[in-house]
Amino acid sequence: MQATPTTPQKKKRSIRSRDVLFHLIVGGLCLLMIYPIIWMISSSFKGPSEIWTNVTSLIPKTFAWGNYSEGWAGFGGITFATYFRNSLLYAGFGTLAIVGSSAFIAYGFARIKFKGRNFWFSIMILTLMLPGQVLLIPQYILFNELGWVNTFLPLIVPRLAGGPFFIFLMVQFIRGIPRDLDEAAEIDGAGRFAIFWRIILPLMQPALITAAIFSFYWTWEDFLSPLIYLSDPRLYTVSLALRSMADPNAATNWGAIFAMATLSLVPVFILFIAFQKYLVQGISTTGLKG
Amino acid sequence: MATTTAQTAAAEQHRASERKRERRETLSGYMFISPWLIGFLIFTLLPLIGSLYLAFTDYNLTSAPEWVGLQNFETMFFNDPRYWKAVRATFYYVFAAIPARLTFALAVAMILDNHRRGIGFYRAAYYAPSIIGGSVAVALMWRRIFASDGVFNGFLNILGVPASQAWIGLPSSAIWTLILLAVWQFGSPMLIFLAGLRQIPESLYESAEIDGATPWRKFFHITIPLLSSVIFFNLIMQLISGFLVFTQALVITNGGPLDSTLFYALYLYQRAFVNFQMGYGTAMAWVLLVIIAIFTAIAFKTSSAWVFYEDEG
Amino acid sequence: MKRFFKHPMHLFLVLIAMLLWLVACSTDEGTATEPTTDSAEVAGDMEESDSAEDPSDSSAAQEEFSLQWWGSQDRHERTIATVELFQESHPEYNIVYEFVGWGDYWTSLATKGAGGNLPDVIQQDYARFFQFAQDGLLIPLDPYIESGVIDLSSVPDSAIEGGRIGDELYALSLGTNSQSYVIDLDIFEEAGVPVPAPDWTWADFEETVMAIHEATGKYGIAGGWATDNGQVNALYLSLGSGFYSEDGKSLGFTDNPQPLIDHYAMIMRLQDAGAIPHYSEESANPSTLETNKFVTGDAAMYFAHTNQFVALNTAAGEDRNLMMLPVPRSVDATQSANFLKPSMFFSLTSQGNNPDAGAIFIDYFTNSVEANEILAAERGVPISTAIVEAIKPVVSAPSAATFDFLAGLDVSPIRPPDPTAHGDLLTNIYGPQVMEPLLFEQITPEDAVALLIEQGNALLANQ
Repeated sequence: MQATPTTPQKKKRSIRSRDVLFHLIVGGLCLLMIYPIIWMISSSFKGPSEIWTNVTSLIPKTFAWGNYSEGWAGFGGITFATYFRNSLLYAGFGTLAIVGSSAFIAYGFARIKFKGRNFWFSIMILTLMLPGQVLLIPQYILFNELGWVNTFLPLIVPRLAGGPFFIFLMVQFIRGIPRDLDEAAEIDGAGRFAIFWRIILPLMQPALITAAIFSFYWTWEDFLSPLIYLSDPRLYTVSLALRSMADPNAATNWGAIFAMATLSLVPVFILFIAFQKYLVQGISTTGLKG
Repeated sequence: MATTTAQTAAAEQHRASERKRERRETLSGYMFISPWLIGFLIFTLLPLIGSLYLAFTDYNLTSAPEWVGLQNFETMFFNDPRYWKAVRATFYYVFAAIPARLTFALAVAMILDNHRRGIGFYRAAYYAPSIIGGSVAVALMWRRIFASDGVFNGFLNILGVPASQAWIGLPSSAIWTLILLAVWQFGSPMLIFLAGLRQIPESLYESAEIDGATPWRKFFHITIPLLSSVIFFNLIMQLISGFLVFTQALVITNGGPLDSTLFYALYLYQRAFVNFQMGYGTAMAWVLLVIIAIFTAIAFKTSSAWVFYEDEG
Repeated sequence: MKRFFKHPMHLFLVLIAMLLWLVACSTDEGTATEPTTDSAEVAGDMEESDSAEDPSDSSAAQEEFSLQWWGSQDRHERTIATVELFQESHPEYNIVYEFVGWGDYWTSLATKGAGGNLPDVIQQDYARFFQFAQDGLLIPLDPYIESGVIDLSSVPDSAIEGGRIGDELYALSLGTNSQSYVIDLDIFEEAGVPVPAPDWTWADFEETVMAIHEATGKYGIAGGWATDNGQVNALYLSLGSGFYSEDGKSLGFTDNPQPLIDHYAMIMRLQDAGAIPHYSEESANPSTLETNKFVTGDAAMYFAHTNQFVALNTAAGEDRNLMMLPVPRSVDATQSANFLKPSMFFSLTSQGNNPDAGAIFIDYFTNSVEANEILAAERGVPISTAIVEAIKPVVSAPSAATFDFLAGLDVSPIRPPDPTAHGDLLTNIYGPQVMEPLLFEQITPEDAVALLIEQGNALLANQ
C-alpha cells in the first residue's frame, strides 16, 4: 500500500462525485465494448430456428443448452477437452518461451553497445514487415527436412528465439529505465547477467505482463501453424477445431460453433483478469529499491 | 621527450583497455542476442532467401518453381488493375484507421490508469473487442450491425436520419466499416500505453501538482515525453500491422464490393493460396516489405527529434 | 510488494523444464518402435489414456494409409464413423485421417504437397483436380478398376465421367450432383404463380420472378444467384457449348456473345425492378447458407446444387415446402441445361505411401451399404445404383427427393474439366471486373461481355 501514501480520507471524499461520473461514462461505453461478447454468448444459447431469425435480440426465446453438449462432443469421439488441453499447452509453453527469451534478448539490444547492434536490430524489425503467408511454404519445407512435421516442435522451438514484436516492445521499456540503477550495481561488482536478473527484469514487469497477455492470446487464436504442422486430429487446437466445424455449402450447427467460441474465450479472459492487476504496479509502486 | 613517451604509452594503454572493454561489450551483447540470432539464422533466414527466390518464379505450389525473371513485377505494376486498387485501399486504411486507433487507445489508457474500484473489469471490457479479433463471430456480427435492417441504421433512424443502406455492400462505405472495426479493436495499443503509463514515476506528477500545473500542462510536459518511447513503439507497430491488415477484411468483406476493401495482404493471400500463384504472391510481398520499410525508416529518422529515452539522460 | 516473478530462478526453472519436455518429445520420435506415426507418438505422450483406448496401437502388423477431407462437423462425424467401420472389417489397415474446414483445406494440401507429404487419399474438388493431375500429383485409378479392387460394376459411366482426363480416371466421384433451382412452393402458391415446367426457359424465369415480386413483394430469387458463373455455363450448355471451349484455351461463347448479353440485360432488368435483391444487399449478407434470403423466407427461389437440398431443408426448417427444378434453358435450346457433376471426389496421390490400401478404402466407400447408411448421401447421391436402392429407405425425405430428382433429370453430357486458370479467371476477372461493375451499373451488359471475352481469353491462352 505504500503506493498511495498521500491520499488522506478527506481528499478521497471530495472526489466521490468524480468517481460517480467516471463510472457512468466508462461504464456506459463499456456496454458498447462488450456488446459482441454478450451477442456471442446469447447466440450460443439460441436454437437453430432462432439463431438467424432473432439475430438482434440479446435474450434467447428458449435456451438451447444442447448447443454446448453438441459442440463439446467435437469430432469422432475426440472432444473439446482434448482441444482445450492442446491449446493450453501450446499457448502456455509458447508464451513462457517467447516472453522469457524476448526479455533476455531485449536487454542485449537495449543496454549493451556492441558492434553490429543497429544492423541486427534493423534486420529484426525488417522481418516483421514481410507478410507471414509467403514464408509458410519455405518454412514448412525446412521443418519437413528437419523431420519436425507432425510434432509440436515447429510451434514451440522458434519461440525460444524470441519474437521481434516483444523484443522491440521490451527494448522500449528498458530504455525507459534510468541507467543510474545499472551503474550503481556495476560499481557494486554485479555482472551483466546479474544486472539483468536482479534489476532490469523486475522493473520491466509491466512490459512482461503485457507481452504475456498478447502472446497467450495470439497463440491461442493461431490456427495456421497447427493447421500446417499438426495433422493428427488428436493434436488439434481449439482454434483449428472451431474452424473445422463450419462449411459454407453444408448445414452448419452455428449454435454449437458459438457455444465453443464462447468457451474458447474463457481462458483468455481468465488470464487477462489475473494478469492485468499487475499493471497497476509499475515502477511507481514497486519502488526503486530493486 | 620522456613525458610524451609516457603520455603516449598511457594513451595507448588506455586505448588498449578501451578496445578490450569494447570487445568484452560486443561479446556480451552477442551473448544476450544469441537466442534471436541463432533462431533467425536457422528458422527465418533460410525461408527468407527461399521466398526471395520464389518472387522471381512462376510457382503454382503443385509443380516445381520456374524462373521467370522480373515478369511477376512487370505484371504487378503494368498489367494488373486489381493490384493498384489493393495499394489504394491499403493506404486509405492505414492513414485513416491508424491515427484514430492510436488516439483512442491513448485516451482510454489514460482514463483507465487509476486504482478505482472495478478498474480490472473495465480494462477487460475495453480489451474485449480485441479478443474476439477476426473470428467468424465478429464477421457475422459486423455484417448484421451494418445490414440494411441492422442496429446501425436503427440507431440512425432514432436520430432522425433515414437510412436503409447495406453499408458493407456499398463500395463507398464498406471500407469505413472496417476502419471503424479497427478503431473499436484498440485493445492492444491501449494495453501497451497502460503499461507505459505505469512506468512514469508518480512523484513527477506530485511535484508538478505542487507547482500548480494544469492537467494539460502535465499531459504535454510529463506524460507525452515520458511515454514517447512507448508511443513510438505503438506507432511503428500499428504502421506495420496496418499495412499487413488481412484477417478482418478476409472474414467480413473478402475484398469486396468492387475491390474497395481489397487490402494488399488479402490480395496477396488470394493470389498465393486461392489462385495457387505463389510466385506472384511472394513478389507482391517483397514489394510490400519495401513500402513498409520506407515508412518505418522515415518514422525512425524523425524519432530522434521527439522520442525521449531515459537512458540517454 | 508483489512481484510477478518472486525470484528470477523460477522463470529459469520453468524454461529448463520446457526444454527437457521438448527434448523428450524429439527423442521419443527417434526411438519410436511401434507402428504408429510420429504424430500418434506425440499424441500418445500427451494423452496416455487415449492411446490406450486406441485399438490401432495394440495390433502389430498393420498397414497404414492416410486420408484427408474437408467439411462441416456433420460430415466429419459421418466420415470418421465410416473410417472406424472400415477398420473393424479390415483390421489389417490403420487409417490416419485429417479433416479441416473448406477455407483451410487447400492451404493444408498445398503445403503438404510442397513438402512431398500428401496423404494417400484426398478429397478433391472439380475445380482443382485438373491442376493436381496435370502436375503429376494424382495417380490414375484405372489399374485398380481393371484389377477389380475398385468395383464399379453397379456404377453408370455417366456418374464417373467427370473425373476423367483424356482416357484416364484421376478422381472417383463421391456423389452425383446437378445444379437446380430450389423453389418455395408456399410462396408460389401465395403469389398464385404456377410452378414452371422442367424444361422452362430464361424467358419463363424472368416472367416468374417478376410475377412473384409483383404479387407478394418478396424477391423472386436471392442468394448469390446473379454472380454465379454456373448460370453462364448452363445457358451455353443448353446451346451445345459451355463456359469454356472444348480445349479450355478460350471461353465457350467467344463467337456467340449475344445470349450472354441478353442474360446480363435480364439480370439488370430484375435488379432495377427490385425483383431480386440489389447486389449491395447480396454482398453484405454473410456467405452462409443459414442467412440467405431464401432460407429466411424472403425469396421464392434459390440456385443450389442438389447436394445442398438437404442442408437447405435443415436450415429453412421442417415446415417449409421446398422443391427442386432443373436449370432454365436458352429459348433456342438444343439440349438440357443440366449435367451430372461430381459433387466431390476421392483421388489417390503420387506422394502417398500406400495407394493400394487407399484404393481398397475408396472401393469400400463406394460400395459398402453400411458405410453409405452412415454417410447418408451427405456428399451427394451415391454413384452406385445398388447403393442408392439400398439406402433410399433409410435416408431422410429431402435426401430421397434428391435421389428421385436426379433419377428423373434430363441431362446433357458433361463438359471437360475446368482449365487450370479457372480460379484465377473467376476471382480476378469474372467477379471484380465484370459482374460487380455491371451490377453497380458502371458498365453495360455489352461492355461486360466484351471485357470478359477479351480478358478471359487472354488469360486462358496464357495459362
